[in-house]
Amino acid sequence: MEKLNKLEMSILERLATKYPNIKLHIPFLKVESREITGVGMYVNFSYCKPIEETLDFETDNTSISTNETIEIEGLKYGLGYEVDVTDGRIKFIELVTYGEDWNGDIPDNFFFT
Amino acid sequence: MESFVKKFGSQEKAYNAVQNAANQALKAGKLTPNAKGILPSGDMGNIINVGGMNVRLIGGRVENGQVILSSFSRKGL
Repeated sequence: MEKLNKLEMSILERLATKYPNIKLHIPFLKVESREITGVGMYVNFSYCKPIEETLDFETDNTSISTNETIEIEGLKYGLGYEVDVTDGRIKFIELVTYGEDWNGDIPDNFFFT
Repeated sequence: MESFVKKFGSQEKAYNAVQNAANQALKAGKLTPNAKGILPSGDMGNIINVGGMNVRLIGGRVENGQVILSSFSRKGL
């Protein structure tokens, strides 16, 4: 298991401005795996300890996003993303390109638009 | 997505069905691309009907009157 990288942390922190309870979950998250699909990536999470407070949405199973584009070098159209919430917990981030091939590299100088 | 893929017989056929349905939804004015042609994700993702089943588009981009798919899901639908 690994720590969250800068992009993963940024995504969750930006979502936390809209869904404050996410901040409570971030310290418990570890990256279980990163699966590169060729046109995106799945970042799968696990919790290092049980957390009592589940994320409070209309449903325990949903997908959320700020709908921002992540601009990174090498992708003309950037990346989109959404975060999967299952049973009130963060399960994975899905990163997607907009029709471009991607090798999964994430430089440090990304920004959100 | 298993039942969805099973309905169409293969992943490729299921993907093509979503592609066709997305293009039709675009022509019918049912999709909401932003000024750059980018389609929304998350709970704002456009929901389209594909062969009688609802599918939510995850991102995607509109170019020359066609939808370039990013991903899609049936979670919660």
